[in-house]
Amino acid sequence: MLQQLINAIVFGSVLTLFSLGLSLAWGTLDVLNLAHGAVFVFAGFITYELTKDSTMSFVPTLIVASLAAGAVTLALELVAFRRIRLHFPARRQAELSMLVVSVGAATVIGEVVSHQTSEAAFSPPASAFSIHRYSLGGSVGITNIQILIVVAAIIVAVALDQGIRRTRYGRAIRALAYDPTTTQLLGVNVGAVAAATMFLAGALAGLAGVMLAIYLGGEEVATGQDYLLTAFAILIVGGVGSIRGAIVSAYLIALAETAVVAYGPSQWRDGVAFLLILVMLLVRPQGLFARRRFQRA
Amino acid sequence: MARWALAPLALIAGLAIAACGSSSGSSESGGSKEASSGTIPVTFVADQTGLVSYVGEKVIAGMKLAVEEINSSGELGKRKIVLSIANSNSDTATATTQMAAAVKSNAVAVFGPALSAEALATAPLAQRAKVVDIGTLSEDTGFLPIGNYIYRLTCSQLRYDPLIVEHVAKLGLKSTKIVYASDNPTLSEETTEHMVPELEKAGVKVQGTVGVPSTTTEFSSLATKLESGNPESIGLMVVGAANPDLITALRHSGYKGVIWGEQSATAGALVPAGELANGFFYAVDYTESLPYESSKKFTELFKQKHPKEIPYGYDANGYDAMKAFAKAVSLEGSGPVTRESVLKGMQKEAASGGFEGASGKTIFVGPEHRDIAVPGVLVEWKDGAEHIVKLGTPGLEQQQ
Amino acid sequence: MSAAPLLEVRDASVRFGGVHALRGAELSVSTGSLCGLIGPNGSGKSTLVNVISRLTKLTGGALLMDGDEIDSLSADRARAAGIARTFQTVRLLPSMDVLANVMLGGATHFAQRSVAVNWLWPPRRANANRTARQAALVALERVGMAAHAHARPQALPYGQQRRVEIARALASRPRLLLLDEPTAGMSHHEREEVGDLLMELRREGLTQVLVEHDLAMIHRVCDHAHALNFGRVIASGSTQEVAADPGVREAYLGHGSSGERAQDSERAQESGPPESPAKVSQ
Repeated sequence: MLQQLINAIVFGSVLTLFSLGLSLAWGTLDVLNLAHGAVFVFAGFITYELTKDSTMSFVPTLIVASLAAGAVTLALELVAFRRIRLHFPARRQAELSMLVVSVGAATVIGEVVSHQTSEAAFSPPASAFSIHRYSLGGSVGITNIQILIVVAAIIVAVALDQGIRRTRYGRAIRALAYDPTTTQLLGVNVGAVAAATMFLAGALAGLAGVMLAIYLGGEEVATGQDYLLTAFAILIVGGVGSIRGAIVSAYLIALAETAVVAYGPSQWRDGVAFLLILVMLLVRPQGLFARRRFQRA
Repeated sequence: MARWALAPLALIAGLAIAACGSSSGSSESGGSKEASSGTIPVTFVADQTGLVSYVGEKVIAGMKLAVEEINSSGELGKRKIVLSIANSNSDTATATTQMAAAVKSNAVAVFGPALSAEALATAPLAQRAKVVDIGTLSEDTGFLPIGNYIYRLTCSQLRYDPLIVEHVAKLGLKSTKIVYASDNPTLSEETTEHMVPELEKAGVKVQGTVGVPSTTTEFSSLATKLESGNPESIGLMVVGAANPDLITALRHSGYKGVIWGEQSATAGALVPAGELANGFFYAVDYTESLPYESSKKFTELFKQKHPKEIPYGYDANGYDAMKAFAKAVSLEGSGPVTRESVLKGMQKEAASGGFEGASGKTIFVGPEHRDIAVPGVLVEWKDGAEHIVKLGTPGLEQQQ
Repeated sequence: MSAAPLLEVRDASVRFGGVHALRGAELSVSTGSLCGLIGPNGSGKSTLVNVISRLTKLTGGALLMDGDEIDSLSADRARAAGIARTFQTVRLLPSMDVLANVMLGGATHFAQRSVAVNWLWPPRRANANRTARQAALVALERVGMAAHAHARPQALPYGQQRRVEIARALASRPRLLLLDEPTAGMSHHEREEVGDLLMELRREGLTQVLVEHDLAMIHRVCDHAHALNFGRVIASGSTQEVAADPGVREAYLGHGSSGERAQDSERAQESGPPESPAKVSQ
C-alpha cells in the first residue's frame, strides 16, 4: 500500500516533468506541440549516445541533453511556428497549421532516432548512473533515481510556477498568452519571448527524457507517444495553460492509474486517462484550474 | 513508420512508403519476365517497412544469405534462384496487392509476410493460383488449413512452452506470476490457455496473471503488484521495450526471484536492461552458439556478410525458409522448375525428414506435414549474450 | 510652434484590401506639445495612431521621429524608442494586479538588452525587477492610483482602469504618448480629471497626441489640432482655427454618408485581432 503510494508519487512526478513544457507552449503560444514526445525521446537518445562509449558523468549529460532538446524545439519555433503565427493572424488557423507541422516534426525526429537505434529500445549503460535502492522498512523502498525524479519535478514545478507569477519574463509570457498585440505594443519583444518559451518547453521535455531513459530501463520512440497521450489528459483535466492545474492533475492521474494497476484490471490503465478526459469535457470543460481567456471562446 | 505514429500520420506516411515500395519492389528480379530454364524466380512479400519492419529486414537478410549460398554452391546445378522482394509495408491491403502481382508473375513459389492478418489475406491468392506459399512467422491456426499449397516456417512460442515449463520446474520454482500484453491476442491466449495449465500440471503454482497494455512504459506500480505474494518466479509474455522495462522495474523494486520470458526478448531486446537482465531465460529458434553443423555454417556466412551484427532468430527464419525451398527443388531433379514441381518437391521433402538449416534439424509436422518445425533452444541471457541452457527437439509440441 | 518636430508623418497612406484608411495624411508634432487629433468615426484617426505605434504598416509615405525614419521598426522597438500608447478600449490583463500590469509597461528591456544575460544572472534579474517595480509605482503615483496597486483591474471603476492604462504607458518613460480616446465612456467629472492629468504631463514636457471625439476636451487641453476625414488631414492649426474650419464643421455635422465605408476597416484595426480581449469591462 505504502509502496504503491510511493509509486504513484514517482509516476506523478514523471508526468509533471513531461507535461509542464507541453502546457507552457500550449497555454502561452497556442502551440499544441505533438513533437514534444519525440523531443523527450530525443533527449533520452542523446543521453544514450553520450554515455554508451564514454564515461561522461550524469550531470553534464543531463545538461547537454536538455539543452539539445531545447535547441530542437527552438529550431522548430524559428523555422515553423513563428512563420505560421505571422502568416495566419487568425488564431485557430495558426493552431491547426502548427499542429500539423508538429506531427511532421515528430515523424522526422522519431525516424532519425529509430534509424540510429535500429528501432530497438535503448538505455544508457549502468555506468552512467548507478541505481541504489533504499529500504524504508519491510518490502517498501525507493531508488535514488526515483528520489531524483521527485525532487526535480518539485523544483521545476515550483520554479516554473513562481517564475511565471513573479518574474518580468513570466509577466511577459502571461501577457503574451492573453493578448499578443497589446503585449508587443507594451514593448515586449514577443518573438524573443516566444523563442525563449519554446526553448524552455523543449529543455523541460529533455530533462524528463534524460531521467526517464535512466529510470525506465529501455526507451524507444513509441515511449514518447505514450506519454503524450497521458499528457493530453493532464492538460485537459488541469485546465489548458494552467501550470498549477497541470501539476495537480499529473499527480491525480498518476494516483488513478496506479490504483487501477494495483487493485484493478491493469489492462485498463490507459482507459483511466481517457475516462478522465471524457468526464472532464462533459462536466467541467474548462478544467480544474481554468484560465480566464479560455472562457471567452 | 513505427508503432508510435499517430493515425493520420501513419496514413500520410503509409501512402508515401507504399509509393516507394511499388517502385522499388521488383528491382531485384532483373526484369526477367520469362523464366529461362536457368533461373528460378521466387517472390518474398516482406514487411520491409511499417510496424514489423525490424522483423522484415532480418528475414530478408537471412533469405538473401541463403540465395547467395545456394546459387554459388551449385546445389541446384546451373539453375539460379532469383529473389524479388515486394514491400507489404506491414499492411494487409498492400500485402494483398503485392501477393496478387506475385502470383501473376512467373514466380514458382512465394514467401508470405509476417503479420497474421497479412498472412491470412495473402495465402488464399497463392492457393488459388496453385503456387507454394511458405509463410514466415505467422502463428495463426487458420493459416495452414487454407490449402495444400500453404506451408509455414515460424518461430512459434507454443512450440517452446514445454521447454520453459520444464526448466521452471527443474529449477525447483514452486510459484510464478505471469504478466502478458493484454492487447496482443497471441500472447494473451498463449498465457491463459497454454502456459497456465502446463505450469500447473508441472507442479508450479500460478499465483496470477496480469494483463498490461503494450503502450505501458512505467512499470513500478505493476512491479509492486507482481511482487506481492512473493512468487518465486515471474514470467513476461510481453513485446518490445516492455521486456527490459519490466525487468528493470522489478529489480529496482527489490525483486530477487527468477524472471523468464518469451522469444520477443531475443535480438538484443534485453540490452537496455544491462546486467539486471542476467539470468532471464526464454526459448528461441536460433541462437548464435547452436552446436549443429548447419547452424555453424549459417552463423559463419552471416558473420562474413555482416561482421558487426549478431545473427538472431529472424535472420535464421529467412535463411531456413529459403533452404526448405531449395531442398524441395533439388529433390525434383534438374529439370525446369514449375509451380507444380515445387509442390511435389515440398511433399517429398516432408516425407523424407526435412532439411538441415540454421536452427538445426528441421522437420515437417502437423496433420498434412506442412508445418515446418525447428528444434528450438532454451537460452539464458547473461552479460549481453544468449547462452544455451537446453537444446529442443523438433516437433516437441506434437509429442505432448 | 517654435520647437523642432518630434514626430513627422509624411504623405502617409494605408490600404486594407481595397479600402483606403489613410490617403496621404500629413502630421507634425513638435516636442513638448499636446496635439489633438479629431475627426468623425472612420476618418482614419485610430489608423494613424496604429501607424505611429507601429502596429500598422504604411503602404506609402514616411514616418519620422527626430528626423529618422522609424516606419521599419516593430511595435516593441518603437516602444523602446519612446513611443507609448493607450487604447480605445481598456486592455489590461485581468490575471495580474494593477502593479504587475503597469510593470509590464516598463518591459522594454526585452527589446533593448540581452534577455539571456538578464535572465541567467540573478542579481541583474533582481535588479531589473526592482527598477521596473519602482518605475511602475512612480507611474501609478503620477496618475493617482498608487493606493490601488494590488487591486485586480476588473475590480476598479472604468475611469480608474483608464488611469491605470495611462500609468502603464508612462512606466516606460516615453517621449511621445499616444492617447486613443482616453475619456470615452467616462463621466463628466472623470473627463475633467483626465484632462487635468494630461495638462500636468504636458507641463512636465511630455509630448502627447490625443485622439478625441469631444471638441470641448480638445479645446480645453490641446495647443493645436489636426482634423482628419477620409484618411486625409483636412485642417491643421490652433484648436479654434480647426474647430472653425468649414470642412471640419461639414465633416462633423453632415457626416453619415461617405464616412461609413471606411469605418468598418478602421474598427477591425482598432480592436486588433478578432480574439483580442477588447471587451473586458464594457
